[in-house]
Amino acid sequence: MDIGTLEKRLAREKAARSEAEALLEAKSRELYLSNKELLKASQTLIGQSQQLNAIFDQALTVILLTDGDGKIQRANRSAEMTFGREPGELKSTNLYDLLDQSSREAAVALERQRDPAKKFMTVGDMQEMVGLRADGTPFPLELAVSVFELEGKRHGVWISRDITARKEAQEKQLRLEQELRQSQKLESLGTLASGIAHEINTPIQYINDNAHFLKESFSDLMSVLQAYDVLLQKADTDDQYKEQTGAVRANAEAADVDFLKEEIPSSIDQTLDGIERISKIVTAVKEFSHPGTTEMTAIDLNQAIETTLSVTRNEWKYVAETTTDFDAGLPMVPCLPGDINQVIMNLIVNAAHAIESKGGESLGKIAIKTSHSDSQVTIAITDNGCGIPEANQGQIFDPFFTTKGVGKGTGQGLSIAFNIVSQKHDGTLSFTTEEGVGTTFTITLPAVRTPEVKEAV
Amino acid sequence: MKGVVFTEFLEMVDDKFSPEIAERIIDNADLASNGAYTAVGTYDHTELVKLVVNLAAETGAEVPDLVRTFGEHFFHRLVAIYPHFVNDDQDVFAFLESVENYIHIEVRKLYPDADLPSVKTERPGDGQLVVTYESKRCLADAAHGLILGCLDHFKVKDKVSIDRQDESEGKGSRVRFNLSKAA
Repeated sequence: MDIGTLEKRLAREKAARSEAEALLEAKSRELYLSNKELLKASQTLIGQSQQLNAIFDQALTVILLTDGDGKIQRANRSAEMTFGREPGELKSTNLYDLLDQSSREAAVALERQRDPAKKFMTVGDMQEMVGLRADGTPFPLELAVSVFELEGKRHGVWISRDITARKEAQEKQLRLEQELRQSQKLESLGTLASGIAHEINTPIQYINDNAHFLKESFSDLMSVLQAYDVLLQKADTDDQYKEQTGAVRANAEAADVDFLKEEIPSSIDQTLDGIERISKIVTAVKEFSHPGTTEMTAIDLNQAIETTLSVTRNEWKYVAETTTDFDAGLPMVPCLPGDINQVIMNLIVNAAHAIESKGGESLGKIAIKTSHSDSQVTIAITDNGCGIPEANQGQIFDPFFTTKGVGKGTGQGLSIAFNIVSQKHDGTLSFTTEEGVGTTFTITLPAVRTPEVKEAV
Repeated sequence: MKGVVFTEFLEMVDDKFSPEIAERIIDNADLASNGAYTAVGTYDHTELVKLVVNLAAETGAEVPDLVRTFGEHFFHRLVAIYPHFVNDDQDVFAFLESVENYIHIEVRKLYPDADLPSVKTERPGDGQLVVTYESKRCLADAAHGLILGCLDHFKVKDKVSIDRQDESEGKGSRVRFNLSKAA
């Protein structure tokens, strides 16, 4: 290569080098700016990622990201806690394994039917299913899914909520509503019974008055009849009255006057006795169903028990005889009279049913005893019925638990009684039982209550 | 057009002809760049045309032959500069298919302003590949040379025949290369 050619080439190379350096500088600057932008974008992304992670992990809702087969790729803290798993344990677990068999199939169908074009989930997409905790315990949950494609592969975002508390609240509300309906029904029946008792009282009063009048009048009439008898005997000795005395005797025989003389007084006495019993029952019904007492009122519990025994007589009289052992010094006890009457009635009726279930030739026994200490009064209702099997003893105060046949019990009696004693009166309702021997239910109520309660009028 | 094409072209002239001829074709071309090319720069493609025409005048060779020769030389140089684009275990047809589907995509990432030709491929039958070159620069001869260089690199030059069909009325802006492997 000659010198001229070399010189030209050198000049060209120098120019190319300058251009290359300029290009390098320009590219370096571009790179610096790009790097700066990238760093900024990276920091923004890190910030956003941290925000999203915080939202993801702080969300009370279960959030799970799965692949198309349901394998979990990401799970938030709420998911781990809801399903009872350790941190990181859910990753690579299959979502469908967190559900019970029936829900598993429903969840698979839910995912398959989900349209990827429908990007956002709504409350209406939530379906109730059954989840499984780590130990296999089932629990109710709501589940919805949204699907999307990432790098050509189907993924699912699952949102879920543990609805155990909500379900329990709904059941509790339902129970309370049922109790309220039952209570309203009983209150209506009480009001009706009270009205009927009041209406019956008036005719009973004049039937009673008339019966007494008849009794006294018949007594007077008997004196007259005895005088007639004396007169008749004297007339028998005189032949001129023979025809008349014969007619009188014939009529007396036809009317069976001797029988009437003997039976009418006892008939009137029985009537008066019956009227007295009706009167007692009516009075008991009135006392039992005394409406409108929603405040704590001091009452005589012995009297209340006596009244309830009268009202429930029809329930127990064919299967048991009752005895009472009342504490004569029992103080007036502050309580809600209607509610306490209902508790005693439920326990007496239950005792009668227990005796009836046991069967037997002779009548069973229901014994009611009251006692008191300085701070509380106690009512013990003992029956010698069938007792409560051990398997059922833990459930008898549960709402709707019953072993009685259809039409005999709703399973609410003891539940309501327990609620009345423990919740409304700060008392206790407990029992001791022996299967085949009998049961004693014991109610304790505070003898003194603040604020002061008014005495029943 | 990327500067590497120019630098490699001038390298080829140096090697295959002489540095003096290289200088003369630059001097006679009246180039805006004055022939001071850097591989990473970008230059008007007509400068390459001028250089090729001047080389033809200097050597008496035909322009198409020179361009095709350069294409074949350039392929080997590209393999030397960018070896990661070529997998020697690959089938030659698979490589040619990757030009449009992979290499050009990667080039655009590095040079977003690169104005690359279209190199579509299709396989009409077993052992057959159709490569359709299309560019407003009308450098079908260069494409032809590149294909030849490719066949040479994969050592199948004598096993693959090329049937060239110009679909742009001889302008070389759209040319179909029918490649057939020998049975």
